[in-house]
Order: sequence, then C-alpha cells, then structure tokens
Amino acid sequence: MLNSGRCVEMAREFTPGDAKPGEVQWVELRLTEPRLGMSESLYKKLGKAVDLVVHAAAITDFGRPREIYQAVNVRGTLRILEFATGAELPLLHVSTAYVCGERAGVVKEEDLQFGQRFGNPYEESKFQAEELVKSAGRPAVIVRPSIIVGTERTGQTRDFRHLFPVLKVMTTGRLRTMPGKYGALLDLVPTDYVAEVISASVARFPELVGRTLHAVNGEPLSFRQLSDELAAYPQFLMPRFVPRANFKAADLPRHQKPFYDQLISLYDTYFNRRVHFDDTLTRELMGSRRPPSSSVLLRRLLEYCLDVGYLGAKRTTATALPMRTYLGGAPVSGPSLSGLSLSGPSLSAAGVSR
Amino acid sequence: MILSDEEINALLKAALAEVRIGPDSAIVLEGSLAEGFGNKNSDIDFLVIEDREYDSFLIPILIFAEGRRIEVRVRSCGEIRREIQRVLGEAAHGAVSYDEIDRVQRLAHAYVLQSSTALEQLRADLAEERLRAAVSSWFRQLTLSSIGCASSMLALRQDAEAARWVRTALEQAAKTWLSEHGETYIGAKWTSLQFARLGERADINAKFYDLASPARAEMKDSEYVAACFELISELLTGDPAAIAIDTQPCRLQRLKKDITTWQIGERLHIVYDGRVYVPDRVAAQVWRSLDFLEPASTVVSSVPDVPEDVAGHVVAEFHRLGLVGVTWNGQPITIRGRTPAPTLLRQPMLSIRGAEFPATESGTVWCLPISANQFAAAGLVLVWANAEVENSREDALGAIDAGQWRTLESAVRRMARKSSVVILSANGIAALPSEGAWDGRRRTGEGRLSGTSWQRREADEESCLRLRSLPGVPAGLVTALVDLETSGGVASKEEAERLLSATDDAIARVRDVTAGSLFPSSFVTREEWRETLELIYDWVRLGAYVDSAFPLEEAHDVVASGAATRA
Repeated sequence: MLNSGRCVEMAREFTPGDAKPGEVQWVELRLTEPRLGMSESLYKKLGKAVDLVVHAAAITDFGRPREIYQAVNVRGTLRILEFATGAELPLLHVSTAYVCGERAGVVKEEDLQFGQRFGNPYEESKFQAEELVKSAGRPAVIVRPSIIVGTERTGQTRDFRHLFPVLKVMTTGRLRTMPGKYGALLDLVPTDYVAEVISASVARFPELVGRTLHAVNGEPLSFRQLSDELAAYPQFLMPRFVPRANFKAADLPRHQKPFYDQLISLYDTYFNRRVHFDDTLTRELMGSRRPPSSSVLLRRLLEYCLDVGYLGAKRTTATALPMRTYLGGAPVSGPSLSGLSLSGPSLSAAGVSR
Repeated sequence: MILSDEEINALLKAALAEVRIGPDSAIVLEGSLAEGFGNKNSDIDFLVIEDREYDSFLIPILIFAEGRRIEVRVRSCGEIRREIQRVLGEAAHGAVSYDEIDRVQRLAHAYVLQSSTALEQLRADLAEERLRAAVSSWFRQLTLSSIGCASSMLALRQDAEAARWVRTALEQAAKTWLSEHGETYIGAKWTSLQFARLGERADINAKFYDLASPARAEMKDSEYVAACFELISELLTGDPAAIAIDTQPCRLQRLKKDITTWQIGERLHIVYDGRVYVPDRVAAQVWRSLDFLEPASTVVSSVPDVPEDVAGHVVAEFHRLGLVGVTWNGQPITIRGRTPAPTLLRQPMLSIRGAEFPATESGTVWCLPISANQFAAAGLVLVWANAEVENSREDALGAIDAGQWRTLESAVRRMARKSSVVILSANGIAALPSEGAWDGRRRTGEGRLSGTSWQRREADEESCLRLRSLPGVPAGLVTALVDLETSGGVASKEEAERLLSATDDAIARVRDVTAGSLFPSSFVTREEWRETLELIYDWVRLGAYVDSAFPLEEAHDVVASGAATRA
C-alpha cells in the first residue's frame, strides 16, 4: 500500500464491523493452534469480515528441526485452508520459487512435481504446502518469490536474514573458502516488487485462479558476478569458491570451521545450483514493471549494509531511516507466527492498487 | 617602464624584420615590462593583432636582438574577442585556464605601440572593473581548492603536505586580495612589487612575506597552517566557513567500480585501468579499512595496528594514484593530480603467492611493470606449469619402475620445459590469450587460456632456449635445463635414475630462483598442498576477472581433478 502511494496510519486491532475504507487492522493468529488461536466467535467474525486471505506466514529460517517446518509451514497452511473453506474465502498463498528443490535448468510457473530432491526441510515443507493448497478445492493463486532481499531503490531491509549473514561471513573473511560454483545463480528479488506482485494478483484474482506466479527477478546473479561485485569494495574480502567435491570442512582452519558448520553449510545447496525461474505469467501481469537486475540490487544491498554498519565498520552515525518510518507505523510482529494479511471489504479487488 | 620608447621601437623594428604581419595590424608590448615590472633580463613580448576572425597558432616567434630575447605572438582580433568573452564570463566558475586568463590580463595592461579600430574595441570590452572581478574570483576559486587540499591533508595527518598546500593557498589569497584592489597580474613572481605599488595595508604585506618566505622561523607545520589560515581569512573576506580549520568535512570517496581487489593467499592486488597495484602489509591493512561514510580523520585513526599518520600517508598515496577519491565539503579534491606508483622491479616478479615485493612496513604501494592481463596470464601459466612438472615426475617414476626408457625421456623433457616455463612466468613472461585469427566467418585456433590447449599441456618448444634471453638466471641452470631437454639414449635403470636425480637437482635450483614457486606435492605436507591449491584457485579467479572469456568452471575442474589425485 505504501508502494501504491497510500498513506498507512497506525493499524488498529481488528474490531468486527468497524473497518473503514482503506484502513488496515491487525489480528494475531497462531498457525500451530486450532482455530488459529482465536476464540470461536472471533474466528467466525473474521471469516465474515474479509473477502480474501493472503497467506504469507511461514518459518523461513534455515537450520531448524524438520518438525518445526512441518508444524508451521505445512499444518499451518492446512489450518489457513480450513479457515478459508469454512468462510468460503479465496486464498492467495505465498510460497517460494525454491519448491523446485535442487533441480537445475528452467523452472516454469506451472511446474511443481518432478521428483525433485530438496536442499532442506524448508523447501520440502513449502512444496507440501503448495500441494495442500492445490488439492483443497478453494479458489487459489500461488505466488512464489525467489530470494527476497531489501527494497529496490535503497536496498533497505527490515531484518538481516538469509543472504545477509552469508554476505557478512563472506565479506569479513570469517570463512575464506567455501564450496560453490561460480556459475551458480542466485535470483534476488526486492521486497517491494514481491509486494506489488501480490497486490496485482489480488486485484486480478478472478482471472488468475488456479495459476502460479514467479515473483522473481529473472536476471539472476552468478557467483562470478557476486565475487566481481564484492571485489569492487576495498573493505570486503571475498571467499574462494571451490568445487564441492574438493571441499572438506575438516580441512578448514579452526577459527573458520564454525562459520561453515553453523551457517554456510545451511546455504551451500544454493551455491551449487543453476536454476532459472521462468516468469512469463508474472510479466504479463506486471507489464513493463520490472525489478532492477540482481547485480544492481546486490550493489544497493551492499551500500545499505555499509550505510547502517551491518557490513564494514560500525557506524558512529546511522544514516538509514529508522525502522518505524519504513514500516509506515505498522506493528512489528517479529518472527512470531502471526502473519495473516487481511484484505478488508474496502480493500478487495482494486483496493490495494488505488 | 624601464625601457624608453626609442629602445622599444628599435626592438620592434628588429622583430618585424623577421615576422610578416597583415596590413592594419595593431601591435602592443605586453608582459612584465608593460605592467611596470621587469628588469634588464626580462623578455620582450610583442603581440600583433591582425584584423581577421580565424584562429592562429599560439606558439610565439622567438628572436634574439639587441641582447634580448624577443617573443612575437600574432593573433586574430576574432580569437582574442572570443577569449575575452569566455574568460570574463567563466572565470568565477573555475573553467578558465591559467594561460587563458593570463593572455587576457596581459592585453588589458599592454602598452600600445600601434593601434587599430579592432584593438580599441577589444580594450573597450576589457573594462577594468570586469577584469578585476574575473581575476579575483578566479584566484578565489583557486584559493578555496588549495584550502580544501590543505585541509584534507590535515585530516589525513599529513601536516608537511598540508603546510605546502596552505602556502599555495596563501599566495592565491594574496593575489585575490591584490586583484580586488586593481593589481591583476597573474604570475606569482611580482607579487611583492604589486603590494609595494598598491601602497595600502603594509601590515598585510609584511604578514604575507613573514609566512610566504622560505625561512618561516621555528614554526611546526601545524602552527604554520594555522597562521596561514588566519591570514587567508583576512585576505579572503566573505568565505569564513570555507577557511575554518575543520577536518570533519573531509571524506574518502569510492571512485570507480572497476577498481577491484584480488587476494591471492595473503597478498592483495588492486587492479585498475589495466594495471596491478601491490600494497605492502601496512598499505594493505589501510586498504582493507577504507570507509567511505566516515570522516577521513576517523578512518585513518581506526586502522588496526597502524599509527594514524602512517595510515594517512597511505590514504594520501591511494588518492595520488587515483585509487580513492578525497572530498572536502562534498567537492572532490582534484588539484593534486594523479601520478603513477613507483614501479616494482624485481626478479622474480611473481610467485605462486602473488606479486613478489620487498617486506616493507612503510605503507608503500607499488605498481607492477606488466599489465593486469600479463600478470594474471603469467600467474596461471606458472601454476599450470607447476602442476605439469609434478605430473611428469609421477610419469617418470612409473616409467623407471616399468623400464619404459623412452617414456622416461619424454617425461624428463616435459619437466625441463615446464620448469623453464615456471622461471619465465615468474618473471612475467607468458603467452597472453589471443583471439585467434579471423578467417572471415569465425575465429580459428584455441588461443585462449583454455584447459585443453596443446601448448599448455604438452609443448612449450622454446621455453628452455628462451631462458638464454632472460637476464639474471644462472647460466649453469640454463645449461642444465637445455641438456635435460635434449637428453636421450637411456638404456638401463642406473642411467634412468641418474637422469631423474639430475632433473630433481635442476628443479630444486628452479625453486630457488622462483621464490619457491616450484612446489612439487611430493616435497610438501598435506597442509602445504592444500594451501597451494587455494593459491591456485585465487589465481584462477583473478584470471577470470581480467579475461571475461576465461573458462572459469573448466579451469576449476582442471584444478579439482589435479587436486583429487593428491588428496
């Protein structure tokens, strides 16, 4: 909504029958509890108050036990589906482009099952969630973002997760050697572009029912480009990538090994993949609206990270905007399990796109 | 003027005997003498202004007559008019050169010997008030630039450099003040006479010479800078903020995306504009600590284990080399100019660990005498040749075991040739990737540094002979390698073992002259071999950067398969 030029004021807690046109209200849900953690009456009232469910809540961190992904990402989606079915609501399900697992080559938007091997239990759980959505019989649209990073113009990011700690370990020289291919591709997509794809999908929901959209960059970043970009910053070290077959974690110097074991090993599946996400349908939907290429976006992320002192030297003065400005005053939910986005009556259809 | 009209006319007559000028031309005497300065050694500068529009060559005609050096310039009134308009219009914006403003100023104060309508019009364009305004704002701009540079040097804790720049700023500020008061002569040599002629503010004159003269008492550089700043503030009214000593507005600036850093093992290589810059340990530490967001003074005081004046010296050097920008109040400091780094002349120039340089701790940055392309190509050839020597030695051992004497001879020949390649490439001599020939439809030949080149894998026909033209390689070693290359006729195990032993001796000597670059794995521990392998990966990455068509994945595979046999 911020991106579409709307002014978002401090959201109020959901009050049945009280929503004004254009207003954002919030309600805390628990994906792991029956009725999403709501009272029976609130559960019913919420079902009547909205006309579309956008399900974006998931555990996206890596390295957790498989059971957590199953509980939140798979059974949580099942509960959302129950809610949508009970209230006869359509569903926009936010998945991940990496449901393709370790498959290489071009992955199309309609592709889901190819007997793929998954890089981690997160990918597996998102794959299973997609299967549940497809078989539930609700009118549904699936949006699959790739690697969501900061905002496209400033690289600003709310929380430094996923790519960011990896960049930190790489650029600070905490790990000098990692397994990877210079030809591996990372598809980085800015948060605002993903939000716009979701908004546009909501706006044109009826014609998209049953379809899947890749909210991806389309111009991925190779590790060769990544290391070229990092080389342009004097203060950044750059790890050497060595073929996986030749990499032995046991050979790492003692002070480097923990960074591999505890962080990089969770991601090294992505350092060896060469996958290209086809986004024909998304391009049709978005028209001329394209995100900047992954390498341009990376540069903005790096500048932002330097600016706020996440990478490089600690800043004596942070020049980045305070987080609340960025969030437009919406409550910061943190990594809790609440995340059901609401499209109130006034926001249905064209509501989010002015 | 120190010359009489008769003397001037005699000199002019002598000059005109040598120069042909157009009809109705105006002639003036300009420069020091016309300005009322000069001495008996001063040049005689005549300007002939022809009544035409097109431009002339600016080179003066030199004549020696009456014991004096006479310069005659012939220009068109059209070009002078255009120059006057440009200088008067642009001087305040810093886009006017010294020579341009000097020519205009000289004409304004010239002594007319023969006038013309065109000259009268030109002199009318050059109203005294406009000239003063143009010259003073031109000097004001220069002063502010020099102040920026001096302040930046202070921020970088380079007080001696700051003192030199602030002295220049002081001279320029004096010229600003003088031109505001009607003394617009551009050159620095008559400043004292300008002050004297003006006769006002003897105190300023005295203070100026107190500070500008070479013997500036016992002042420390920092005190001198402060004293100069004080006088500059007095001379340059209206810019108090710009003249305050404040190191905060000095920042470093990332100049270009193509200034890149490549680490091979522990050594840094900065690649820019096709050249390789090599910082010593201290300079490398500073390079890694650069921060383009904090004030420069904070950056130089936060480099681990490096005193701030040393760090500042290194940053000032990076700036001089064009590797980082320095800004003052957001304006880039450009007046220091870009100059090359000292060239690193060493033999060998590189080893498997990267560029070879003296182990200084002074914060020196060198420039390699070969291009980045050559450096990367030499490094890659060196590591490949290294691996080939190793492979051939394995072959030789197998051949001795099996009594295959011709295979042994072949392996020894390869070891001799590849060892020679190691020496050559450690001295920067290696074939660059070529594009191959164009046959009208496509490129022919492999050319590039590919992993399948016959040259790389098998041949190097001339490598042993080429050593003869490389100075500094012990003659005995060259002879030994040439002899090994041409050895043959092995007929027994004893002869075979003797040949291999001679080869091992030669290889050990190659190692001595290549900074330990020849590193057969059989001589090293598993840990050392892993480190060697990492160095090879680093070389491969640099090679892929300088040559965008370099087959990085394929090269990786070659390294990997080589490594796999030893793991």
